[in-house]
Amino acid sequence: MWFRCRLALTLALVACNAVAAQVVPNNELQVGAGDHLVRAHCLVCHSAQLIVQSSLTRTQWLDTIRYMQRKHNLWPLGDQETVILDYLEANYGARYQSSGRRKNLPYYR
Amino acid sequence: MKELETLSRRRFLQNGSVFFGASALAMFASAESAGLNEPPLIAGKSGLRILNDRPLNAEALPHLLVDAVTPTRHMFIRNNGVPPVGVDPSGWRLNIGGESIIRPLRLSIKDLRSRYQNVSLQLTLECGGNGRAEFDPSVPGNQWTLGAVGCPLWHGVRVRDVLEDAGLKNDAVYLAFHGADTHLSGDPEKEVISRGVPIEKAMADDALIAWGMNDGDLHPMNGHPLRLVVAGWPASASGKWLTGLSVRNQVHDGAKMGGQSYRVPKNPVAPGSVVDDSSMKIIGAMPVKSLLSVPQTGVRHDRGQQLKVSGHAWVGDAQVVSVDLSTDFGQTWQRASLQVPANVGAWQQFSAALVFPAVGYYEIWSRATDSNGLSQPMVLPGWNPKGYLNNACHRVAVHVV
Repeated sequence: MWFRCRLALTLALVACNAVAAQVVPNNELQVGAGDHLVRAHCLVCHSAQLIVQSSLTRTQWLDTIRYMQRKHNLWPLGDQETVILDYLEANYGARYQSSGRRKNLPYYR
Repeated sequence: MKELETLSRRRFLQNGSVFFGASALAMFASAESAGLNEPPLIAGKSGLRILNDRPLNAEALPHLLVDAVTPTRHMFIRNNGVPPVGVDPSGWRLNIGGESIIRPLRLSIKDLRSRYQNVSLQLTLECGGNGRAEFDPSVPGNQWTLGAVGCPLWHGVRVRDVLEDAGLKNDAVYLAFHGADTHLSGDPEKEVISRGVPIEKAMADDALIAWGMNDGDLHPMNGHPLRLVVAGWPASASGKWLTGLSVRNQVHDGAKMGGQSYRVPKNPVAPGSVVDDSSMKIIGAMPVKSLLSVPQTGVRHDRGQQLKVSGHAWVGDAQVVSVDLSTDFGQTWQRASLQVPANVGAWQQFSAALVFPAVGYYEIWSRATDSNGLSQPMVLPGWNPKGYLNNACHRVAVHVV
């Protein structure tokens, strides 16, 4: 009975949450070799969320760095560029979806 | 010299972050101060999923987009830079100029209200990248899913009336906007975004200079105190915190007009292709699309009951003529009832009552068709390098018990 009440309460809270609150994604970079460089060079201007929500090939990450340099005042990264690319590729690399049908829809209750 | 440059850039950066810090404090209650697991709040907004907090980008949860007129609190936010703070609407000025304007104007919001016909129109704005999250291979940028769309009631004046007052030269090609937001790097020389639309679209009925939405002012994150609203084109063409309009004698070349921004391949490309800038074209009117806001995906439904289904359908520079629904993965379709738009440029509401033959797992798919005979595809319509224009049919899951 108590469990049922708690379940109902939890569901009510979840439902309530879905209506009233705002949903935020993870804003923390993965811990790994080079994360401090990403923090130092990238997070000066924008949130980690721009990285965390991405999954790109090494070429796409390099293109993104070049775009940031061309358009958004990112400075030359020197030797650190390779370390940064290694980090981005390892932690936010391309995530190919399965082909065939579109992704399965998630349950919500 | 190089050192000096670096120093001055660092100073920009510091200024930028201090500036943002102040505005961030005003906008958010941080997770720490609000208590455990409390998401940050944006004053005047609710039911948004935040994709990015710097720059701020947030989309509506699709099952909350139930109203025909999108409430301000559920209107998505797509910022490219740092919004202005301490905005004083009475001191705000809009400059009308450019090569193809005969008499440049400098207008206050009061001038706009008093000199031109005031209009209130429901106009649909959708981010060009809405649906980007479905791209495979995935592409850079905010991973919008479904909710970067909305159709509030906007209050303002027609762009046409203001441009005709200023006088257009015969060589007018493009309307460009300028805004008061500042670059994330803090560099005052950099314009954050300066896009626009061809002059023909700027002169259309559904292009406004707006100072209000729904029952109040524009929300600060939706452009307060003044913005452009050009219905049916990528929302990036509807500049926020509007300070200037230039009528150009060429296709506008401002920030995010060229390169890969808001541009798609001229010819279809294989997924994952690298496409040269010269092979890209500017996105025009947005393609036909629909959203099921009722029911919420994953709903549990009693087989004995009819399931009431409703949502919105929209298309740029055309009208939606039908919406069809399928509960068998596209094998059969049934027509929903569809309303006419409140005005040109507004989205349209559809509804239906569905019955299910047996218990089990179903998906409802919605497919809108426009007056040009184009329908929504079932899958991603055409991969492109920056993930624009995904108008694949919307799906919601139903568990019939």
